[in-house]
Amino acid sequence: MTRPVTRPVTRPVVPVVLAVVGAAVLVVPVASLLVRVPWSDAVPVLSSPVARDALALSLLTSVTAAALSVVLGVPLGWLLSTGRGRVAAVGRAVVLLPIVLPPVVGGVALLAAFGRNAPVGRALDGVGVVLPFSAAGVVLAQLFVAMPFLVVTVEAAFREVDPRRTEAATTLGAGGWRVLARVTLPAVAPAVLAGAALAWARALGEFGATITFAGNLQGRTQTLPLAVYLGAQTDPGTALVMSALLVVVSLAVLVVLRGRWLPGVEPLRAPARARGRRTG
Amino acid sequence: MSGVRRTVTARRSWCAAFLVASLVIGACGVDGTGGATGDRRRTLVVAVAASLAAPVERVATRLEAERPGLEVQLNPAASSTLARQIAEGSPAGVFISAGPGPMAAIGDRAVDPRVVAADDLVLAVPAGNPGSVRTTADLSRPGLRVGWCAPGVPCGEYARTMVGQAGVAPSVDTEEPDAGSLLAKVRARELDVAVLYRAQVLAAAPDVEVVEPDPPSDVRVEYLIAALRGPDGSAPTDDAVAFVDRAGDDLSG
Repeated sequence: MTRPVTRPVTRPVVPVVLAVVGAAVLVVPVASLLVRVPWSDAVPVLSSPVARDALALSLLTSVTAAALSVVLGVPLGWLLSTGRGRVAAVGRAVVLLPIVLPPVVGGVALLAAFGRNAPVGRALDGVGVVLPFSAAGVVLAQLFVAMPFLVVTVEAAFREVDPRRTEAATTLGAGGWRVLARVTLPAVAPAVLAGAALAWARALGEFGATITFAGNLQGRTQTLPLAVYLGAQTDPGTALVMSALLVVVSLAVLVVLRGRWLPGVEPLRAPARARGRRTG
Repeated sequence: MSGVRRTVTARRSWCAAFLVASLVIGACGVDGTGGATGDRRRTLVVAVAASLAAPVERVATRLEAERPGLEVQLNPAASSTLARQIAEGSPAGVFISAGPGPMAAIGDRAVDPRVVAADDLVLAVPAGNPGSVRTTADLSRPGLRVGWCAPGVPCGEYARTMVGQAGVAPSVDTEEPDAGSLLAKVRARELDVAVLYRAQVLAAAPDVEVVEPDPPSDVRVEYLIAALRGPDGSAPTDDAVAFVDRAGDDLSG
């Protein structure tokens, strides 16, 4: 059963089988979900008050969280990319933590900081800002879990910017701010877009930190994932339709990302220094 | 250069895949032989209404001491959620449901359900009652942070009945997925008041206190327990039957 070796790459059977099993683990649940969705109910379900409120709130909060991720995360990614040695490594670890942390833990941590018996929360309460059980709290929970995806994406891109270009700009007399705006930022723009899309998708899917920190109330804090979870209690059909909506939206993001991802993250120039990459 | 990198990375990821796979296969193998050779280690999954998790945990501990090799795993959640999991073929051996609805929903997988405990609803407040909650009507007071369970969840349905009978339209800040997460938010002092089961609130003392509903509530909750047939219709295990008996002695007494 030996094949003539015509190419250096052969595919041993066992890893291929494992790969197929692995793919099945990922594909079968989503495919089964889509099969079970009562499509004929889709229109009435999606136009029900619960679904409409959840969809509107999800779009509002996730877009806000993604925008804030860009405003705060791009500078953070840039700062990390300029750091060296232990400080940068620690900074990167801190930023990565929310990615590996269970989101529920994130919610508990947010309560510990911004709950009304926590120092920061009490101070905010004093000036009339209440985060738990509010839409702002939903955004904060989403920001906490989503921004790291943007930061790591953007940081990798900042590191890939050819130093000769920034040096050339500096030599030509451009100040630090001008170099950043005219040379560095345009170079990382695709990565910012990719990171923003990733952060938005993560914010859209946020569940654990949200329900722990912001609770669940239709129209105020009940996002689509929460509506799916609670809809499943009473009306599995509704939950399935809303789940399908999330699958479709997430797929759309992935399709858009496919075009953006490669130029944003893969080094097109200076191939060697592929460091500071995503979790992998 | 990048080609070399990629090859190294690919080889490394295959190694990782093999490592994970061999761990999984290894674990399965140990498990399988353990069962087949008559090792006495076995697991009983108890699906329990979140509000009754604490006392049922004690039943589990006692039963484990009586029956060597038995490990009881609790699955505490809203009874409605548990009923759906069981109907979808979850391997639970015992189901403890708040109210008869979820128990009825799993049909003939439940063998001979019986009442194992009874409870009623109270207003649960953090220690010291920071919101000065006195009556059920306080649930509609502006500025107070109020929580109850979501509709469709037993604790949410009972709470709606109680508050409706009192003629109060509450201004609610959160509708929690089960009684356990609702209690957690009172315990964390993020809510000023929540509608919860009395036994559960008493078990959370001194962090959480009871305020009697005023007007008094006549909403009564009966917990039902049943040993479950397997998803394939097989009879309940001895462990499941023993758990039901033990719980009957411990919880109702």
